This record gives sequence, structure tokens and C-alpha cells, in this order.
Amino acid sequence: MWVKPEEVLLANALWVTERANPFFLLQRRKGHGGGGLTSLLVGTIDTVLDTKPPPYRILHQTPNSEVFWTVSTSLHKREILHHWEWLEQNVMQILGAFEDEDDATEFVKCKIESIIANSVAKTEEPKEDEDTRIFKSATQKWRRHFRMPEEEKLVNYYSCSYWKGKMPRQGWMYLSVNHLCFYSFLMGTEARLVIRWTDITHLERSNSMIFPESIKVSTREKDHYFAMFIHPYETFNMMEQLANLAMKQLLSEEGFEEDRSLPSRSDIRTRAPKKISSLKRDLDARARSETYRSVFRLPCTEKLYVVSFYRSVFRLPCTEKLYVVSFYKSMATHPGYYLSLIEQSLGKESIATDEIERDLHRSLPEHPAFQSELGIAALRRVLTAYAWRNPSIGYCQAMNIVTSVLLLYASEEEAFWLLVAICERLLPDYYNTRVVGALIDQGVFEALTKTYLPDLFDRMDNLGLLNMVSLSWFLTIFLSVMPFESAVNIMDCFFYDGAKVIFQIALEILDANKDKLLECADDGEAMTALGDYLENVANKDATLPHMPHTSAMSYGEVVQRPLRRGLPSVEVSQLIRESYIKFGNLGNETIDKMRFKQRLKVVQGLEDTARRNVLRSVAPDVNFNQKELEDLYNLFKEEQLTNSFWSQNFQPMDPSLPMYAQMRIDQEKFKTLFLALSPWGLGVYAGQLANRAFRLLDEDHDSNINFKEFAFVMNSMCKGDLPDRLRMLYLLHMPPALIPEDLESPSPIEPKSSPIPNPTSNTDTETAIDAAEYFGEDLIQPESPPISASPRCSEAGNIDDTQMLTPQSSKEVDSSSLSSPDTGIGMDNGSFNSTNNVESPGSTTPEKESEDQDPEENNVKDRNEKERKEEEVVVRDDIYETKGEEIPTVLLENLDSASVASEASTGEKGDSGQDEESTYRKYLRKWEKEREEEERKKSFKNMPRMNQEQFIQQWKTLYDMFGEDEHEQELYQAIAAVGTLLLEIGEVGKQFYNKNKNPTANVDEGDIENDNENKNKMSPSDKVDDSKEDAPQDDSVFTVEKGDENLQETEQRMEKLAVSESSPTSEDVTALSSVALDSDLTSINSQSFDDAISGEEFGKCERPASISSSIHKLDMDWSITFEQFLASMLTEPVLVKFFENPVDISALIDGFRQRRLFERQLSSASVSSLA
Amino acid sequence: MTKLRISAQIDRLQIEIWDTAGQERFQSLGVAFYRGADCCVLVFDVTMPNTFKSLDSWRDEFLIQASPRDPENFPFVVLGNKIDLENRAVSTKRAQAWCHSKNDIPYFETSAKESINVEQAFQTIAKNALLQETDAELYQDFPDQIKINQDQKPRSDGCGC
Repeated sequence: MWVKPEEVLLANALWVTERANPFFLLQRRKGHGGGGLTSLLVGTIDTVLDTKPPPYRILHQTPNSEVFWTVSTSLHKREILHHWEWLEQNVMQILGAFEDEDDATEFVKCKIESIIANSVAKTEEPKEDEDTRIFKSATQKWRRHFRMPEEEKLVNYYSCSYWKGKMPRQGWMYLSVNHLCFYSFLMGTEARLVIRWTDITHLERSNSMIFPESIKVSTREKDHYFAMFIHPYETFNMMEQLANLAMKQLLSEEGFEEDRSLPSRSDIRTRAPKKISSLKRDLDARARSETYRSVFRLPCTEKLYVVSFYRSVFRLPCTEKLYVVSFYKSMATHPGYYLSLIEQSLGKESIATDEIERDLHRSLPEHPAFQSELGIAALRRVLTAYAWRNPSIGYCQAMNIVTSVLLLYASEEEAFWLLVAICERLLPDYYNTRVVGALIDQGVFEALTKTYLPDLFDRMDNLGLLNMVSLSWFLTIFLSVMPFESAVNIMDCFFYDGAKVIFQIALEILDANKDKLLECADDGEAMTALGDYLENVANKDATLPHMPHTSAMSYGEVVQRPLRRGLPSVEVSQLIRESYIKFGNLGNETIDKMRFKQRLKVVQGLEDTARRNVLRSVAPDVNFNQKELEDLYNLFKEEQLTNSFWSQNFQPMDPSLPMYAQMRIDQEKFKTLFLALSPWGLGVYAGQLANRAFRLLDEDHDSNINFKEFAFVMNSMCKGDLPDRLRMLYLLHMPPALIPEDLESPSPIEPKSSPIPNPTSNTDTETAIDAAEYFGEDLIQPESPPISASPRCSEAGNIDDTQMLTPQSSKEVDSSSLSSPDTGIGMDNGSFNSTNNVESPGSTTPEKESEDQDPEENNVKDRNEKERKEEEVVVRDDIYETKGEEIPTVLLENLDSASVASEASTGEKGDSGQDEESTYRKYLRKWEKEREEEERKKSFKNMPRMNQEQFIQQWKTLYDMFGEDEHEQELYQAIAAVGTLLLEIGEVGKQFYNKNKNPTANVDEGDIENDNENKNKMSPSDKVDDSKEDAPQDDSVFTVEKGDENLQETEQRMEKLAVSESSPTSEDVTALSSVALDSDLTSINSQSFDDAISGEEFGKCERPASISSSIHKLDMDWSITFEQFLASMLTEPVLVKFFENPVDISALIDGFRQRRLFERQLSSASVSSLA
Repeated sequence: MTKLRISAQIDRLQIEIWDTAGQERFQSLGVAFYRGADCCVLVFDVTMPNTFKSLDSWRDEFLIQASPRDPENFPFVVLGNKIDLENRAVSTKRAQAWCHSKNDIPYFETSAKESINVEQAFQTIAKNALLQETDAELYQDFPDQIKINQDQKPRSDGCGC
């Protein structure tokens, strides 16, 4: 392997030279492979000295030097020979050409080191030297202190002290790619500080009495002072550089044609900087390279070697027109590039091409060249080709003006390359999607004015004038404000001397008008004064006739401005000369430094604007208050940034999107946030739930969700009212949130194989699975008592579709379908009607329809089946009629839904409930209103029926989410009851849905066994706990005849309703029939739940295998509607309370931040003990 | 990028009119131009519905950037321009409804090309601007005080002119 060249003084001691040429020796360790005494001797020496070098090496030596350098060592002869040959073939010739031997040695050393550097990156087997080890251990310490993930790379660390109040704390400052960290451990107190570069708004070196020779780091929240640096200058530069990288990142805009070979972010990510500060070295190199680039104004791709190349070839002094050289080189090295761009972009339409088209006729329209299609077409081609080349800029107004002038003086292709030079090197970031470069230069200009023309600055600042004037000066290089035959002279200087020319001309313009400006009363007057001056800048050498520029034309057209006449004209050459005399000492480096500083300010300013914009557009749609929304925003932004810090797939944002849509996070980040913030994010299935939520939100399948979507889902879970939250829950268990894989592997964790540390969650799992098993197996059994024979009802599926189409009909149908669970549970039509006033049809229809269906259904049924079930049929029928009477009430009590339910039943009985505002009715109303609204917003187009698989998933989720609630037990009971109820509703409903299906088909022995087990389980509870429930069952038996009457009644009603869309929903009948089952199933359910909790029945309940097997037996016809789900949930006050509970999202966010700072990888801009 | 300034004399009143419209990317640069404005004229193209839709966002942007003391009552005027064209896509009713919902902003349908209604529009603009108090009272020193809960729709693309 190649090794870092090191001096060897005695080249021949203990080594045998095997090959040699004028520059290299290949040697073998004495004794290696030879055996004998030498071997033994050398071996002993090696052992004693603990050296044991590899047995082969290559040394470099120049003919007249005593010093040898190792360049390669190896354990194997083959490898060393390979290196030897490589050297002979590649290096020898070059070495021979050097006149100076020292140069040759230097060359060899560089060459070898670069090979090593490359191979280190590849093999990740760096040879550790002392520095590396120290750096490595520092990195480890830093990682440990700050919980930084592997992706985050340390750049360097410095000893310094942090001023906390008036006390300095000595410690270490760690600078990593994305964070500034400070750690100190003094007198037993640890102190940590972590700041993201992206949060830094200001960096400054200061030297005050209080903080001598210090660096001030400001964030939006507070200022931090660091002092006692050993190398303050170096440290500060490094900080500045990292902060600027972060600013670029904040803009989500990597510079186009970013120098790929220097450490772009992706390099930093992929490379493991094991060598000491290899990152720092890279960054230094980058800084150096940028300096040179700015001096010589080279394109990014041309690094220093180009400069030296041209210097040596053309013997150009470095101040001469290197720009020209590099410009022609760009063109020469890319032959055909421009043409190919034109071809590629041909016929492709985009926002950019639209905008270009619009501006073509207002680019230098006064010039004859752009009054014909010839000139217009050339302009179109250049602009379109550029937009195609660099989509991150696309087309920015002002480029049209610059380009049209370029086209007057250069060929089309040259104009294109000049435009490239302007957009990408001379005026970096000027024309990008937020014209950041121009904003930065406005800041620089302001600062320069303050320095050079302080008195004028005060006045101008007062008028707010500087920003007003400077934008068009900068963006169009004065072309739009001066007669262009004059402005082109300035452009010449600009090409020659770079951006500094613009600044010095701008300063000179202000200076020349100083007296006038100081007299101006307002900004309008000042603008006029400057405008007049600029329009009269003349060029007596101009080859073209004088043409007033665009805006001058429009001035003239619209208004007669008396002031313009008779003003003394200024020669542009005079203006330029003056500017060089007065402000010529202004260097491009100075400007770059100032830009560095301004960038922080500008980017953070844009960030603030963006935040306000996003919050403003999201706020109306959510119930979060401003503080909460802001907290959410900040957290989201952090996650988004982390995304781009460490993930590879960095995508540029589409600037035409609304701001909130430009803020996006991927699934992983969303999951993190979901788990941290969602009130439903506690259980073992939470991860799965998060994934579902993500799928639900990611409508466009771009694997990202934006802030608005995020705020929406958080709002639904944390701040929504009950129907809102339940709707979200329901949707999370529907496609697209639910995908087939979820169903195939219903349990993300396997309780048996992977032990869960948290005992609570363990139980949860059992419970959930237990429930699933129960639902999945028992319920599909046709034998489970009353199900199969239940009277038939509506085809609610169809209805649902119709419901959604028109708000009017949906209202009706909602009410009717809603009424079904109500009645089933004991909330009757009465109460429902009171909610919906006149909508009696909704409540009455079902009965009738079910009536209608019943006979048919019975016909279809297997006779044996029928016989067996006779009893149940009876039960069911009688339930119909008891509707509205005692039975539901009793049941409700049994179901333990004290207040809400009894209220409801009261309302039902006497129809006196109209004036009672029971909770659920309030919700129903609210919910209905919201539904209409929702439809308008189209955020959810419809709520499809939920099938059994989905239902099981949903119930798993529900069982899973109460783990940390204080009312855990009651919640489990309640959810079991509601689950049972819904299962029955669905079960009954299905027979209507698919009459031909024989429900007994799937029975097998296992099921029966299971069933028996369950029955066994339930029997004690029946007797002990649920004795009350026996009563309604008994009662119901004798009401058969009544039921018949009811049926007739219903039939009549149905005729009336046949026309109406809402008629088919007869689910209250379904629900009714289920009443009879409630008692049994509830007890079963709660019983098995208890079993699971107590752990006695683990074996039966926990196996995922049994779940998946049960899935095969899922009843495909079973389904429920959202309305049924909602109404059933409302019967349980505990659940209502749970889903009404407002969530303090800010507290959760704070908690998350704290946790993350210390437990998890990432840190935020918060300060721990130092704060 | 157009930044036009016109001085006009109407009835011995001098009006400075700033045209700040341009690409989306210049929207955030408005702050310098909005400062101290007495009236804000929002112009859309009646043949381009998206320009109408983005009125909201321009209005917001103005209020945020200019931060008048009483944003709800700051004088706006909305102009639906290019009514000389045949392919009209924004109905008068729709535009009026929007203006009405924004505290009754005066609405004019104009054609700059045919010089329809322009005079009337600018008379109203001048009048409403005059009704405003002087700069000092109209603006607060610190921006940022826009209420976040104003009833506003999300912004859409396109520019207002």
C-alpha cells in the first residue's frame, strides 16, 4: 500500500534492494522468505523493537541525495511489484523532466499523498497518525456529548470559553457541518450548547471591554459570546464559511455548477473524514479557491491550475483580462453545447418560456434590432437555452435586457456564454428564484454607502431610497436606467473588473447627486433627481444614435416632465473615471467579504418572511393558536433541514408553489414527528399508524408531505373536535392510508419473538391481537348466535356514494344512516329527529325496507341453518318493535354509557329530547355543518364503507392508543363494547348487502372450538357481571307479533320514500337487531380482554399466526359506515372524553426537543444547561 | 422586472404611481416600494383567472410589507383590466363579490388599451388616497403586526398584473 512519504536515513540496514532505478528502490526485509540466521536475527530485532514492518517497500531517492523516502510498503511481493510498475510507467518520465531534484522529490511526495488521499476515501483504511487519533477521539467525545449521528461530520474543534453572563466558562467549541457546539465540564458541572448554523442570524468578531477578542454568535433568541481563542481569525473564518454554507442550504439552492470536486454537501456526507480535519482542509481549499475565483473571476470548473496554466502559457499578468480567456475557454471547451441546448429546449413549454415570451417585446424595444422577428428570435433562443441549462434560475426578468444588449455586440453563442458568465459567476445568485444575490448586494451597497458617504446615507436611509434605486441598477447593470449606449461602457468595465464596478459606479452616482439628494423632501423627489441624472448620462463616442431607454420612453409617453429638459448631460467616461478615482480602491475581495456577512442577514430575513407567509396561509384552516402553529412550523422546518443535511435525495423546490408547499418532509421525518406529537402515537402500532397517515396525506405520491398537510393532520388529531378526530381515525384505516401489506402482516411486532421492554405496551399488544383474533375468527362464524338470521336492511354502500354527490341528499342520508347505530344502541329516532327536525323519512325508512328484505333473505337461507336459528330470529324481530321503548334504555345502561346514553334514550322515548342539547347531538350538528364545508373544500371526497379487515386494523389501533391514559381500563371496556356493537351492525348489514352468500360456508372445527372457548369464557361473566343484560333478551323473545306489525308499517313508509334517495338506509334496523347481541358479545370481548390483561390466556390470544390465518376467513361482505362508527363511539362517554381532550402541542414539542437533545441524535437550536 | 414611476398631475394633486409588478420572485422585494403608500391598486387581467385568484396573495403581501396601522381599512382599488378582449374569463360578479368581501374595495373594469374607465379609476384612487391620514399616522414603525388569523385563502400562483 502507498504510504505517506517519510524520511529514511539508513536505506540499506536490514533491507535488501531487489530492484532499482534512478528514482526508486524496491527493497525486501532481510530474512523475509529467506530463512536462516539472518531471518532469525532480523525477526528477533523486529520482535524486540516491536516494529514488524511489512517485508517489502519502495523508496524514493534522487540521484544526488542522501535522503530516502518510503513511498510504499507491502506484505506481498505481488502488490509491491504492481506499485513498482505503476511508478515506472507513470512517474519516471515526469521525474526525468525536472531539472531540480528537490522538485522531483516534491512531486513524488505530492503524488503519493494524493494517491493516499484518494484511496483513503475508497478503502476507508486510513493510516492513523497521531493527529488523526486525536481528532478521532475528539470526534467521539463530541458525538457522545451531543448525541450526533454518524451522518453529522465534525469539521474542527477549538479551545475557547463561553461567556455565560459575566463568567467565562472554559471548554471546547466543536464546529460540525450543521452545528456549532460548545461543551465544558468544570467543577462537576457540565454545560452544553448547540446551535444550528441555519439558525444563526449574525456572526461578528468583536473586541469590547466586556468581551475582549471574542466572537459573537446571534440567533433569533439570543446572543452568545465566545472568547479566548488561540486562533480567533481562523476560527471565525471557519464559522463564517459554515454559516454561509448553511444559508445556501436554507435557501434550498445549491449554487448551480457548484464545484463538484470540492466538498459539496454530498461529499461531506459520504466521505468519512478520518484524517484530521480532512474536511477542514477541504473547506480551506474551497475558501482559497473561491478567493482566486473571485480575483480572476473564473468559472467554477476552472480551478487554480487553469490560472497558472494560462499564466504560464500566455504569460499574462494576473490582473489582465483573464476573464476573457476563461470566457473563450468555456465556449471552446463546449463546442456545440449551445446548439444542443436549443435543440433540447425546442418546443418545450414551461413557466420560464411563457415569461420569456411575454418579455421579448419589451426588451430594448426602441432598438431596431428588436423590432424585427430576427432579433426577437435570437433573444428568445438565448434566454430559452439558458433557462434550459439552469432550471434553478430559469428566466428572471432583467436577464432579457442584459441579453438583448449582449446580442447587439456579440454573436448569439457568445451572448449565451456571456449570460452564463454573468448569471453564474459575476453576479452570483442574482437571478435565482428569490433574487437573493441582488438582495445581498443591496445590503452591501447600503453598508458601503454608510462607510463612504455617511451623511448622505442618513438621509437616504430615512427616505428608504437605497433599496428602491439599487435593485434595477444591479439587476440590469444600469442598462435599464441609463441610455444604453452609455450603459454599455459601464458593462465593459464590469466585465473587466467585476462586480466592484457596479458598486463604485453606484456610489459615484450618489456622490455626484449628493447636494440635490440632501435637499429632497421625499423619496419621490429623490427618485426624480436620480432619474433625471441617469437619463442624461451620455456617450459622445457612441456609434449608435442616442436612444432613450425603455423606462424613459414610458415616462415621456405618460407624462410630460418639465424637469427633464435642459439638464446638463454627464459623460459616461467621466462618470467611470470619477468612480475609479474616488472608489476604485474597493476590491472584489472586500465585496465578497461583505456579501458573506449580508447573506446571513438576507437569508434569515427571507426565512422570517417565509414563516409569516406560511403561517398566514395555514392558520385559517387549523385550530392551533399562533404560538402553537409557530412551534409546529419551527419543528417542521428543522426536520426539513435535517432532511437536506443528511439525506441524499435533495430536491430543489418549485418556486411557483405556495410557500407552505415548498416546505416538505419525507416519511421518516414525518414518522418521527408523528410519534412525538400525536396523541395516538403511543402504542406499538403507532409507527404503522404514522405510515398510514403519511400515505393518506401524500396524495401526489411524491413521498413528501408539505407543511399544510402536516398541520392538517396534527390539527385533526390534537385540536379537532370529536367527529373530526374520529373521521381522521377512520380514514387512517381506509385506502389509501391502509395498504394491502398492512393487512397481510397485521402485527408489526411479534409479541413472542421480540420482547417489548415496556410492560404496558406488551399488554397492549396482547389486547390488540386478542381483539383482532376475536373479531377475525369468532365474528365470521355463522353460528355465533343472532347474526345470520338478522333481518335485512339497506344497501348502504350505494347510498353512501349518492350521499356525497349533493349536499342536500347527503344530509338526509347522513341522518338516516346515523340513526341506525343510534337506535341500535338505544338512541332512537326521536332524538335523531330532533336533531334533524323534519327528516322523519330517514328514521322510518329502514324499518320498512328491512321488512321488505327479510322474507327474501330467509328464502335464500339454508334450511338447517334456519331451523337452528329460529330462536334468534325471534329475538331479532322483537327488537324492531321495542325500538324506542324500554329495551334500548336498559341496554344502554348495561353498556355503561351513563349520561350520554340515558339522555339519548330519554329523548327517544318521549320525543321530548328536542330541547335537550345532549353532547352527541351537538356533535351531530357540528359534524353535519362541517361535512358540507368539507365537501366544498374537497379535502375528503367521500367516506367509503369500512370492511372487516379495515375495521380490525382500526380496532387494533384503538386498543393500542390508550396505554398511557389514566382511564385505561374504562377505555378498553368502552372500546370493546363499541367494537362489538359495530361488528354486529356490520354483520347484520352484510346480509342485505349480499343475499346470496351462505354465511355458514366457512365453518370449520377450529372455529367451533374457538367459539366454544369464547363461550366458556363468557359464561361466567354473563352470570356475574352482565346479569342485567339477560333481561332485555328475555323480554325480547315475546314480541314477535309486534315485530310483524312493525314490518307492515315499514313497508308502507317505504313506498312513500321510494322516490327519495335517502330511502335505502335501513340500518337502524340492523342496529336494532344487534342490540340483542350486545350483551353477549360485550361480555365476551371484555372477558377476553381481561384474560389478556391477566395473562392467563396468552397462549390463545397472542399468536400473529392465528391472526393471519383468521384473515383468510375474513368476511368480505361485512362493512360499516363512518356514520355508524361515529354514532357508536358517541355512546361511550369515556371515549368521547378521550377524543375531545385538547392536546397541548407546544408542550409536546418542547418535550420532544428536550428528549431529542439528550436522548436522540439530533439537536435543535436550544440551549440546555447554558440557557 | 418593471418598476415604473409615473408622476401625474390631476387637479393640482401630484400622484406618484409605482408599478412594482413582475415575476413571483420579486414579490418579496416590494417592501421598499410599498412603504408610505397611500393607496394600493391591484390590477388583474379579466382574461386570466389565475391573475384574479392571486389578488388575495398580493393584498396580503402588501399589508404585510407595508404594515399600515389599520390594515382592514387601508384603501385598495381593484381594476379588472383588458375588458376590450373577447375571451373574458372572470365575471364582473365574481370580481365584485371578492371586492365586497374585502371590506368593499372599489372595483373598476378598465381597458388601458381603449382607455375605458381609466380616468374614473384614477379619480377614485386619488380621492381615497387623500382621505387617508398622513404617513406618520398611517404606518407603524415596526412591521410584523398583521393578525395571523385574517380570513384569507392560500395564495396562488401568478402575478396580479
